[in-house]
Amino acid sequence: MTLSQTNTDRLGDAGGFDFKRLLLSRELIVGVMILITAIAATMLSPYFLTAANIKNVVIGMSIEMIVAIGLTVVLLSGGIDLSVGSVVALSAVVIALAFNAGLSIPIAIAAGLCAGVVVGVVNGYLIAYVGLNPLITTLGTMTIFRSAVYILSGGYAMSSIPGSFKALANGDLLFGLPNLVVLVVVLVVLFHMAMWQNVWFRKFAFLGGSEMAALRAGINVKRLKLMGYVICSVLAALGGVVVVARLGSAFPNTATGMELRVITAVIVGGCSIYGGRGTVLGAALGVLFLALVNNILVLNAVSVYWQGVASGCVLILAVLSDAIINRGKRS
Amino acid sequence: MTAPNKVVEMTGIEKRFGPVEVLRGVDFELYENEVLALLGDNGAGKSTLIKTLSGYYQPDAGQIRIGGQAVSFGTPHEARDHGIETIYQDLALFDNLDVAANVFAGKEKVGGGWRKMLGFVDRKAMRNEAREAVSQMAINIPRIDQEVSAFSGGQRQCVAIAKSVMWGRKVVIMDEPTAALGVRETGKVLDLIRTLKSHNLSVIVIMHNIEHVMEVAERAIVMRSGSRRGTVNLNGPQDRESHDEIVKMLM
Repeated sequence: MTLSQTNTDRLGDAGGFDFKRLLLSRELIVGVMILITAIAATMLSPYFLTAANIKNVVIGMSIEMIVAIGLTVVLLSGGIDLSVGSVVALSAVVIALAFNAGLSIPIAIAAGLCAGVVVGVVNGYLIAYVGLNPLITTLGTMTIFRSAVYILSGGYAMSSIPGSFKALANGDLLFGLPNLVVLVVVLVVLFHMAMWQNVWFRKFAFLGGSEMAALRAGINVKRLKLMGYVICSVLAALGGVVVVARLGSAFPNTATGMELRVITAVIVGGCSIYGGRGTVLGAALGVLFLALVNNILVLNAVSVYWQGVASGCVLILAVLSDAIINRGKRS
Repeated sequence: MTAPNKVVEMTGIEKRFGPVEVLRGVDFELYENEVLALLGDNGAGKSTLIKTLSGYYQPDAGQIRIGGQAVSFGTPHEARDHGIETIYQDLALFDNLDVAANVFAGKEKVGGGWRKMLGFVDRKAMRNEAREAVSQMAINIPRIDQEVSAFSGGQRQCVAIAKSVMWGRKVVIMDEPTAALGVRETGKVLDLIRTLKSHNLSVIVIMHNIEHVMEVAERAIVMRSGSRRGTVNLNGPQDRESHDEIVKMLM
């Protein structure tokens, strides 16, 4: 026993706290960047710190935030999902069709989410059980389901949405906080805690770390992969529900290009494109950060065409900072 | 030594892949608490023999006994359930996770009370148990909460082995544990193998380097073209006689 005790002392942690690692954690870095950006924005524009603007920013990014949670799950498990934007639109159109058919609100929402389950199962089955490449597979389903959206909607915006449904997304039942913000915060906290602490959700990190090791550890790798894509698609479908409720209509070109915007944000938030690394909180902060940057541009009357330049630069800077921090470490 | 118990006994193991006869009636035994080296050229059948024991292959003929009891393994999991753990060269670690997560992979501890309802893991307990397991090894691990990607080859080996000690395995099979390591690290891993004995484990090491074999193993089985060429009892690194005997058998 003495042997083990002396050795334990030499382990040097004894429940200690690694401050250096916390300081270099992506969540904190992005958090600080958000603060700096917010301060800069306040100085640059008198309109930044107004309730109306903050509300706009927060509500505007809520859909991307929901989609980002699901993408984090898939990226962490070592996959990628390009079909999320199409799923948002598919879910939105399915809901609008359900309302056209005179169905009630809960059934319409369920129909939208079911569309997500279908896409998730198709993606997951092809990737996990057939063994296709995730990038190619979801590129394919992205195209297919975007087409499906146009076919289903006939290419027209569908706007026969009941007012009570719109009220769900635009109301503020809790302390005057917009419902959407409450929903997003609850989802982020829930998923962050689950990925961090829950035995089942933690398996995604194992899978992303090493598929072979996960297999040897007795994890049902194929089923877990499939479930990752299902979770991602269902969250994207929930994003579609929110889109319809917020805008009161379903446009067939909803969320076009959203997958790349969200992937950018999630990587800025510290997710590794190779899997195994990333948190839901980080991803959410990444979305918030990019939303703030875009908001500054808008407030200062910079053309929206510059937003891509800004996002791209932030992405490259984020990856660059990662390379600098990890320089000299064993790969 | 008064007739030590056989942990593993394999008799008349035969295995063929198509027309190729890889194992031609091999007998193999592993005693309790011993470090056994398995030697032989490429294609001598050591890997096939080991994979038969760890459940990856099913023998065409012959019998496997674990602790005197006849068994047959359909899958690696069944072998593991009988206490046989194989540590491959790639070690099958999760580079993105810390030592505790690696040791508990797939069998994470769930906390009590409200955490049980939410399926939340008990990090502290896992960390403490992992620290306990790792601290009894001959290699120091800098931090128990550090990702194993930052570790050296020897330290990674240590984490992989701590896993099998923790889960109460009886037999650990190591496939070329020193193959990719430098001199210093190799020394540490050899120390590590010796400490496994103090945990009542029996170890089978596949190694090419005879010097390393002499340093850790008590017995060596030499294989040649699918059959057992012979056995040599080893008495430490200075035992020239045994060394020469092994070399002769390998030639």
